[in-house]
Amino acid sequence: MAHTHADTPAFDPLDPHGQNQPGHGGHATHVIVTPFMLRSVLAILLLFTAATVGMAQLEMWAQPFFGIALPKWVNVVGVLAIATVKSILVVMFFMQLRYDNPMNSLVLVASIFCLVIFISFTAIDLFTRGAIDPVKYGQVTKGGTGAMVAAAGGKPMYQAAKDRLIEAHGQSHFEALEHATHAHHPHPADHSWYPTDENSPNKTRRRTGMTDALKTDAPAPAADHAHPH
Amino acid sequence: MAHDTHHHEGSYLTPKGGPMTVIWDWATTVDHKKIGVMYLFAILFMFFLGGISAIFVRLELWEPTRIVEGVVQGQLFAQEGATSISAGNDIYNRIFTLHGAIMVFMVLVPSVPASLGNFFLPLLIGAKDVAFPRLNLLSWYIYVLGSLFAVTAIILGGVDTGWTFYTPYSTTTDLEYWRVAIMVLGAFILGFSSILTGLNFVVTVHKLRAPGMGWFDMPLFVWNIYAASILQVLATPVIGITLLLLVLERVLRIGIFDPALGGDPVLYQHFFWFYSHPVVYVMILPGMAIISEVITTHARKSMFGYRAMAYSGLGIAGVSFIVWGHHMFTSMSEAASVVFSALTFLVAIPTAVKVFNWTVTLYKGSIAVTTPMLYALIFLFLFAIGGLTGLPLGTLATDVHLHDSYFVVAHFHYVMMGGTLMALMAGLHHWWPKMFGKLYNEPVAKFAAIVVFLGFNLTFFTQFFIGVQGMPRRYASYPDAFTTLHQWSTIGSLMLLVGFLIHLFVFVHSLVAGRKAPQNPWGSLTLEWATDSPPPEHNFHHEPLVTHGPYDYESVVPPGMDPADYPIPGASPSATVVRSPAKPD
Amino acid sequence: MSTLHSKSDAPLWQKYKHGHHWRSQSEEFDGIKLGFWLFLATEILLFGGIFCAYAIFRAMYPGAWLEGSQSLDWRWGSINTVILLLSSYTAATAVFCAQTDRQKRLQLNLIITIICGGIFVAIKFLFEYTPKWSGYFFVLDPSFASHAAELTGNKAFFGLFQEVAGYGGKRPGELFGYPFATDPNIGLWWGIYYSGTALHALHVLVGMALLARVLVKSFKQTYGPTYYTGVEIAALYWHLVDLIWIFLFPMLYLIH
Repeated sequence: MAHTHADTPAFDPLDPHGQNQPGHGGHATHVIVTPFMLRSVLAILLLFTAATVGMAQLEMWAQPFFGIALPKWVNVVGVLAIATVKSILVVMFFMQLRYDNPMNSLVLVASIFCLVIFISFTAIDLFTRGAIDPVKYGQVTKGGTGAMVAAAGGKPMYQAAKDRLIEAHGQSHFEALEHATHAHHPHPADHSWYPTDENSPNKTRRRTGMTDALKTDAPAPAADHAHPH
Repeated sequence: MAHDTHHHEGSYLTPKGGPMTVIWDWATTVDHKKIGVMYLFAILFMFFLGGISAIFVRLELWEPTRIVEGVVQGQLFAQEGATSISAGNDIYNRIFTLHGAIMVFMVLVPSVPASLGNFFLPLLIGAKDVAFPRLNLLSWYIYVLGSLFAVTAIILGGVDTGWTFYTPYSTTTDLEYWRVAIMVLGAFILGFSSILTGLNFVVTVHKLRAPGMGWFDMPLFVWNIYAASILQVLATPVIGITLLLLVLERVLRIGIFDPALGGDPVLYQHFFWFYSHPVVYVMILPGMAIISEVITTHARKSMFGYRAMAYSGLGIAGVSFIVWGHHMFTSMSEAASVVFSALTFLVAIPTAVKVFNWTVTLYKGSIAVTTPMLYALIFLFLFAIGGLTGLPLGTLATDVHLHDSYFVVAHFHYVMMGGTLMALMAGLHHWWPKMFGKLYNEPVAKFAAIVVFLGFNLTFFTQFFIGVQGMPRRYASYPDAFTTLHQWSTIGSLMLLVGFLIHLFVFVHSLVAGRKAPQNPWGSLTLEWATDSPPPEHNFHHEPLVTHGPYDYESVVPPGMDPADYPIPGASPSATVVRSPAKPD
Repeated sequence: MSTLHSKSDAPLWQKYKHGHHWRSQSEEFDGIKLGFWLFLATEILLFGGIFCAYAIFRAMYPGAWLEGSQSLDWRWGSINTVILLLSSYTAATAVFCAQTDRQKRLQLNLIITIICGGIFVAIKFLFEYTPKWSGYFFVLDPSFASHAAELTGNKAFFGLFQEVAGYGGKRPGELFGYPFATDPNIGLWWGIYYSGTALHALHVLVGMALLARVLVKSFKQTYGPTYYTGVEIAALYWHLVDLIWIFLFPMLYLIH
């Protein structure tokens, strides 16, 4: 099924790509992946899809049920590992890289390598803010200040939306709807096991310089627009 | 080989009929040579626009802005008798953004690969065309479309975000006019053009080399364009998604980059520089490609350390992906800054390999000081200054002082203009006889090159000093103490203008009244000189067979003979090998 | 097979001539494939921006991501995953049929693939985007019945969409109008969700267009054992669309 290049004859400098070699005319190098193989791969892919959905559902159910707290990474690593295996299957058999010119695989690997560099080096910055210079000056409102939102009046968007509804229909109506909505979508606060430590964007660099306004001590942090629990 | 075959097939420039036929023929051509020429003229036009705006920037900085008795003085763009500086400053912001955006996205990125690369890459590897000729034409039309978007934004009043489109400035200003969105979409579209060119070249180099040409028989022009093409393919999509998110942010206010909506503006900078740092090497690698060809040909020496040169191009491409953070030392976390600073110094290694190898190649060469060679020497001088001034910018402690100052402006102009554009000028003169079949006026071109060299240094060397003294970039005014140096800089920019106008005259004169060029006026050994000047429609009359390396000047010349006098294999016997294309008529 | 036909009515794929600048047809095929893989690499990096923003913000605001993934219905996501996997299989089978000159089955597989793409986009638009964005449920939406019983306010839209008060407004950023959000950074989640899935849906539409072009050409017997480049390219693109969804699905629906 898989025609390999192992039987390639000695390199001919006048024919670097071997297109004059016997067996390289027409489509002799092209591989036909059999329907049996395709069906098997599809079956495995569907199986893995069921597994990944099942795993996530099981985890959501088991933690409150048994009162345990699995580490965050179990879910993340689990589903992403399954996704990786699935994608390798698609790439190798549906996209035929298994039998293809290795150069094409190299292209794919190079793009993934760039992606890994992109995400990991960006993460180095985002998660070491304030690591060396711990002083936090300046304050970033959670969810933004909503300064650009005309209707929000300086509030976070979700708060403005809430206020609009209460103003239009009254507090009791809001509470009734909230109850009904959360019956459909579980409230994150229901998951008491869920760790709430958050990386804050407030860890910005200390500001010093020539500008007078910045030399003075930073103002006291504004009251956080945290949502009422 | 090419002897007496001129009658079989006309040159690619031969008109096929009346004016309408010719226009239609060019507009629908899939010939890489015609597309290269169309790119060249489009890029030169954009270079003219960008250059004019640069002159306006320098004229504004001729003297500091003052308000004397309530009236603004010393502001180029102010209304007569204006009492506030803000209107004039606003126009200044638009002009320098115009200059930056045009020069980066529409001139420097496509400059060498899309014009000279398109024309000569297939010739240098002995191919009939690039791998995907129709895609090649499409990429030119995409380039024109992207440029039209940018020009539309300019006509509607211009954009004042700087060419980097930093958030939140680019997402929260100009909301009612959409000029920023149009400009950003223009840059997004230009990215497609860049990707298609790069993709085309990679496949061409892999699949269409002439029989007998292995990887290490390729001219270094091909190697460096190949490295730049890989960068174009792998880095450009990230600017695509960045600009797309930026547009979505303006249209839907999705808030990923806007702190007012909870996003992170520094994340935008990561996205932006992940593309825009590698793209600096997309600009300079093709410049290095040209210099390698020009120096070996005009010094008639084989390239010193050929393999090192080939690998260093790929090395530069590889390292360029992990150093983008040095554009953000003042906005990133300290730990990340340390990592990026350390990695930044790695770039110096392959770059220095190249500079040293060019210098060693010159040693004991039989140097002909032609215009291309003069520009190559100018490149070496300016690029060395540009490269070395990069070191203090990569060093954390000094960068905090120099960040966003005129020192940075001078540094990247030495690299980009002193590097890429000087190399483009070298390549243009080197290949002009091949592209258009006409010789140009050598003494006048050399004079213009010297004017450009002096004007360039006057313009930008002064900026190192005002930068170190604390002059920030992108400001329309400055303290009186900087006036003298700023004025020298402006005089230099006018000299540059004069120099380039003389070049324009030389080129036009050559097209109109130039002498016919021989097949191989410089006595070069690379393949493009083995065909007619200008080349026939299908490049070669017979598929060329590569029997010697591109730079085997020593080995193909019999001992005791001056390499300059040796007839080139494949050159037509009637074409004499001229050391320098003699005097004009 | 070709012996049955005289030269003039041989199927198109037998008469295919490769481009003049290629040395052979197999060189051309390899070159086009390498070029297309380079293009696929750019697509991966294009989505890479979305993945990067997702990873960064998820690590910064896990609460918002928890609430966001709870607001999506994993059942629709799973159905769409299965549909895309099936269509990927039929696309791969289409290549097999072209390679073995099964013209009728080639067309059938292409048609199934295109229909699957259509169903994917329809589910996305009718059952996922519209209710979340505007609060209007499509009448066939299975979750609509329970909502209609719970909540008041029925406003019909062309008779096909019913509004459920207080459900819509799950939109990004400034347009955010969902009053029951509990995490202040939820707007970021919706920004990532909409930009990622919409960009993917756009790719599905482009893939469908590519496949439709191949289908139209295949009616004229353009593809066969010695020339099937078009089928191969369209299938590769379709697999990439599948590949992206294989990652988007767990990222958006399953990670909490």
